[in-house]
Amino acid sequence: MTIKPSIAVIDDDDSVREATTGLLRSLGFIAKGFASAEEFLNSNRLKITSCLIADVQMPSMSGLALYGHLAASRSPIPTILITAYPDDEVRARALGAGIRHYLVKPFTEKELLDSIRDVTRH
Amino acid sequence: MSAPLLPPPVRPSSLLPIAAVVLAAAIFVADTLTNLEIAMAVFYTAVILISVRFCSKRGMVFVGGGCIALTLISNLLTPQTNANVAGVINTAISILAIVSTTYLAVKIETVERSVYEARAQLAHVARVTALGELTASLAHEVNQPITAMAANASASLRWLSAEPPNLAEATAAIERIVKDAARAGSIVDRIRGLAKRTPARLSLCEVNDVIIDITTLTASELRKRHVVLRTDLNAGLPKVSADPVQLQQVILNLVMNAIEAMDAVPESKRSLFIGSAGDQSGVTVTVRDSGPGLKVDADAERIFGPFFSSKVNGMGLGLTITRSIVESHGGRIWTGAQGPGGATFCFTLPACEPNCNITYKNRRTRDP
Repeated sequence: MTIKPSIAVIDDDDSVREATTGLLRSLGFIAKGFASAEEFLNSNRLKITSCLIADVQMPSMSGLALYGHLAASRSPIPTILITAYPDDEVRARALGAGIRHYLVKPFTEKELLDSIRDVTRH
Repeated sequence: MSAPLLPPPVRPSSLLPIAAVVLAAAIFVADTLTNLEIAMAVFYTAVILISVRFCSKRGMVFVGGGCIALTLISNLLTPQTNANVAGVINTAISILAIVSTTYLAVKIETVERSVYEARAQLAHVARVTALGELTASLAHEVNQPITAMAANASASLRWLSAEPPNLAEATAAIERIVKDAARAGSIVDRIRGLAKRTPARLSLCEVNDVIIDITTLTASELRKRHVVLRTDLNAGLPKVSADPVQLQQVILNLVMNAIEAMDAVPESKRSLFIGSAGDQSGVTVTVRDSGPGLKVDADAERIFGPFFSSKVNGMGLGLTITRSIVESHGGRIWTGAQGPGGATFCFTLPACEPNCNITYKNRRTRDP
């Protein structure tokens, strides 16, 4: 039996955050939601988080900036970006930074699951 | 003075018709008692001018006809002691004066009505244009609850198909769907409210509710442009008598102007303040941004005039329409004290007096 990865969901929209963590828990993952990148960085879950699902547009630190911050501090966490504003430029920057999954809201359960499987396999 | 954006008086003072009747009676008595050489009936024109304030076009024609009838009746009742050509001519002059005054009054009413309609159309175009600028953000605002609903629906299916089914988790997920559906619905309601084209109608409005409507609609736009919103909405404000759609338009215009002005400053310095305050006499709303501000003396007055715009694509009608709406509600709009950087706009609306008899129209029953 494999150990299910612990996933952090970072989105400032309460509905999306609660729904995504709920969906992940129903899929058997351990999931915890954070309303901002700062809240996640200040939590004690950095070390045990094996996958991040982060919104691109957030008031102070975006999902992309959070990934960059973690990478710069030499503790990168595989990240899946979610966005309601698909933007080719942001997508290119994300791919360039090493983020392989950029999901457009509303995403399907399959898209989410496939992305998680892909990032946690490596 | 700007042209009205609201239809001519919705609540005619009940004193005016009484005053018109009393005046007509007095003229009738005086006209009957004085001899025919005095064209007393000319004063009926005053009755017609008063009736403009409370009558429809048909009503005015009716009043004019009534005045002519009274003139002829008193002509018959007046003792025919010195009936002569002058008397007949004077009566004719009176009737002519009454007819022309009635004609002009009807004409003025028609012109006012078409100006009102043109202004209302312009305001509607401006509203729809503002909504157009917000399209991407509004789509996002509706997309969020849809995203949540899709995830919650998948989750509840998973919980139900588990062995054994986890009913508590499934129920919780479905309850979240219900909440998100209400949220999406209320956003669509608000958009529809602003986009619809209905004649202005006064109702009792809570200014704070209208501010919340607009902050809800612009939430995504604010987030997208990295604007931090701060509100200070005073509880217990008196209600105002206003057309809710036009009041939303006033606040939306000020908020959109503020957001656009702040494009010129770095993202970290963008903040928007919306405040409401008031007493028994009325409500004051303040919208302050942290943009480059107004060039105090140069802009302060011109800014409300037509075709004044600091935006590349602006028509320069936003603030003109805004002022027009505020003034047609009996309020006032001005640029407030300019802080270090940033523009401040304030407007007041008079409180609905205690005997204000406008029935409250409950616009929404759903709320997130």
